[in-house]
Amino acid sequence: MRPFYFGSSSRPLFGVLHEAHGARARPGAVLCPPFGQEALRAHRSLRELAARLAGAGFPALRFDYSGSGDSAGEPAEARLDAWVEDALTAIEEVRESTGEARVAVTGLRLGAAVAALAAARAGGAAALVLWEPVVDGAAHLEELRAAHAAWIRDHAPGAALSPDEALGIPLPPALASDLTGLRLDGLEAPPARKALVLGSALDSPGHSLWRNGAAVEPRAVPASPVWLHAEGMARARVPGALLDDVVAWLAGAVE
Amino acid sequence: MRERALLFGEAKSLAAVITEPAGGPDPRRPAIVFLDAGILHHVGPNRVHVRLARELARDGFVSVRFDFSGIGDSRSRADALPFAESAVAEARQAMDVLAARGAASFLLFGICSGADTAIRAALEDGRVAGAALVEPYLVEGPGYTLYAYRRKILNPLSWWRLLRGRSEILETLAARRRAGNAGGAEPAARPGEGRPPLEAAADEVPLILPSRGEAARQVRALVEKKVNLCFVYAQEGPAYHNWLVLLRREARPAVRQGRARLLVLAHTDHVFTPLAAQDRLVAAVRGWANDVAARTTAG
Repeated sequence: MRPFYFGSSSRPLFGVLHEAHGARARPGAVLCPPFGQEALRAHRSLRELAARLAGAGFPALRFDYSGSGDSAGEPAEARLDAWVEDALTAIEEVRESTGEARVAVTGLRLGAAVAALAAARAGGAAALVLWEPVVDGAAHLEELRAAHAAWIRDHAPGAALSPDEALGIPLPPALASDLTGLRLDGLEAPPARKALVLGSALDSPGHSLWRNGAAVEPRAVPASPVWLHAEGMARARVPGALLDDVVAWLAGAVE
Repeated sequence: MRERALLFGEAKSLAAVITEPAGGPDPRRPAIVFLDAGILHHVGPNRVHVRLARELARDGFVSVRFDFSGIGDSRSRADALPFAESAVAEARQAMDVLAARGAASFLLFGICSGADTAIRAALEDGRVAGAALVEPYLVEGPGYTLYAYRRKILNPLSWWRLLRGRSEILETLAARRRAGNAGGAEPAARPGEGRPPLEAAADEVPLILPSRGEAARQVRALVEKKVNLCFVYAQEGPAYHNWLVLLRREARPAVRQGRARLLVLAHTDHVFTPLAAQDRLVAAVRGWANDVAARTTAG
């Protein structure tokens, strides 16, 4: 687990590379985090996923989008397209470090949308895992704002409610507008040789993605909302079985 | 402003980011060390460590934010040192990293359990010139329930909700009755969250809360050591109540001598979710750090 900065020197991105130590070498993997507070809460689970991927031979790179985590940039200037470019930069970084063009891309929640858009822009990923993907950006925006309003009502009553913040993180108007225009099902075909879509409900919007694509496997999984506030500050829980399933699927997908 | 990531510690297992002013650190200023809050990684609750580090860099401060063993991006320890001891040892190692780059004195910043660790590190390490303690000692002391209810009763919104049958006070009382013999209050699950099939991660951060007597002794000792202090509280919470009934009198000599200050924020939660509360927290800590630096230089 090695933290480092990569990408443009004027706007470096923070990443953590989990070097592969499995019995066999596999392509690199890039993990795209969700937005804002969800990324902070899901940090432990994505770390654990990266560690398990590395153990199976995938060098795995976690990273922070511009204006989030330790990456450079102001959160007030965050844009969805810039995050897709950040994911592309991470894909290039992994390609360079492994010397292999094939990359597996995984994303959680909004990160799944970023992962798919980046994979499409990169000409397709070797394998793509969308974990509880945000398919409809407008619905996601509504959900974030509702969660913020509920949190403020219950935990900081009297604080002013602003549409420009979501659970402690700036949500600038331009980013909100980007989310409103996001429809992952606007991608006509899966941007990967094989794709796995994990959703916790049978009617999860992700399950309708690329329904006719033979290379797409929708899979219903038990709800493991690792991105929510609920777990508090003193403990983290990870959905170990789900993460193992992702690693096993990716190992099969890149054979 | 420049940032670089590194691994430090005996096993090179602790992940850190150093933030430096564009023109290099001002050697007359103390360096800043940010300490993890609970299991939240080194960017801090709501990323407030990153924001503070970058704003303080504009004032000439170098800082390091890092993860304790097993938290965030740091590997777990190979030994079985209890968290209370390893956290203080690792905070001191983080100071060593900046000391090797020229820092002579330090200001610690911690929220919640990070503040508790900052207190213990400041007591152990003579290089600590100050500590910003945000929501330290998060335990409900005797009388807190009454304090919280009195504040709610004085809040017109509470009356409105009571009259509409949606009183938090009533809900809280009912929840406490239900939890009565259950050995502690579990945070209520939100609708739809349920209990996911999750397994506990390898590490949890035990809340290392001293007894009330020990907490008072710790603050008294910090005051006697002439450590500069900045206490920040959320007005409604149990940590501030502890300040009022327990710590205020211990800190009074330092407040009188200008070595301790207090910021109490209304309309915020424990981790400063409203951005307006974050703005005030950052401004207060930045002002305090600059004042301490000026005083240290003058002295």
